Amino acid sequence: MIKATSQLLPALIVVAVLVLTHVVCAYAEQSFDYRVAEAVNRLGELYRKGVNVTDAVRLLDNAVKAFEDGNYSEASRLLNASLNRIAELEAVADRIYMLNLLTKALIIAILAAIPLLIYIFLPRLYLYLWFRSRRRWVVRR
Amino acid sequence: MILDEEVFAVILAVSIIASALGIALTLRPLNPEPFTAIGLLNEDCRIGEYPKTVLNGSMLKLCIYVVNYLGEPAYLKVVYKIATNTTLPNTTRPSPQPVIMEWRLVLNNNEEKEFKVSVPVHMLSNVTRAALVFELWQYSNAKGDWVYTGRWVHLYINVGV
Repeated sequence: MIKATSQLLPALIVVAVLVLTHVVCAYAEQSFDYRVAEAVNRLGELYRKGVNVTDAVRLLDNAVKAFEDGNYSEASRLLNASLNRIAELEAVADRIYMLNLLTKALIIAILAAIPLLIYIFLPRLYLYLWFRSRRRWVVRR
Repeated sequence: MILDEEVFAVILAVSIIASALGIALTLRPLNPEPFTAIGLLNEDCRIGEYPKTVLNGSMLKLCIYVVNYLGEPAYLKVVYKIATNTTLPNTTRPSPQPVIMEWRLVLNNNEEKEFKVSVPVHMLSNVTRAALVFELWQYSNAKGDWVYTGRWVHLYINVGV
C-alpha cells in the first residue's frame, strides 16, 4: 500500500503542476485580454473625439503579438507603452474634440453663407465688372 | 448685357443645392453601417489556387485577411477549427468543434490586415473531406469575454493518408 502510494505521488504532483500551470496560463490570458480590451475601449472613445490613435493601436497590436509569441515581458512593456500613449492622448482629447467641432461649425457656416453671399454680391460684382470692362467706351449721339 | 434675372435665379438655385449637399456631407455619420470582415487567401496572400488535397497530420500554409469597419478600433481574434458538413458555423452560431489555433489582433477603424498562417490538418481515419474553418471573434467589454461576430470562412480539402 505504501509502495503504491509512493509510486502514485510523483504522478499526482506532475498532474497537479500541469493543472496549475494551465489554470495560471488561462488566468494570465484572460487578464491580458481584459487589459487590452480596456485599452481598446479607451482608444474607441478617443477615436470618436477625432484623435489620431494610429500609434497607440500599433503598439497595442505589437503587444498582442508579443504575448502570443510567449514574449511576456515585451508584451507587458508594449502594453504599458500603449497605455502611456493613450493617457497622453486623453490629456489633449477634449481640446482636439473642440477644435474639430469648431472646424465643422465653421465649414457649415461658410457653406450656409454661400447662397446668401451670391444673392447679395453677385449682381453687384457683375455690374462692377460690366462697367469696368467698358470704362473706355465713349458715348456718342 | 446686364445679368438676366432668370440666369441669376438659376445660379442662386444651384448654389443653394450645392450648399445643402455640402452641409449634409459634413454632418453625415462617420460610419453608418459598421461591420467586420474576414477572408481566406492562398499562401501567397492571393485569391484562388487554394490547395485541394493535403496529407493527414501535415501543416498547411494559408493567409488570413481581416478588416475592421466598426467605426472605432477593435480587439479581434481569428479562431481555427476543423469541421465537417454538419459542424460548419453559421451567422449566429460558431462551429461546435474545438479550437485548434487562434490569432489575436488590434485593428484601427478602416484598417485591414493580412497575415500568413501555418495550420495543422489532422482528421480521424474514416474522414477524407474536411472544412478548415476560420471564425472571427471580437472582445466585448460589456460581457468581458470574446463574442462570435458571425463572420467566418472555410475551405474544403481532401485529406489523404
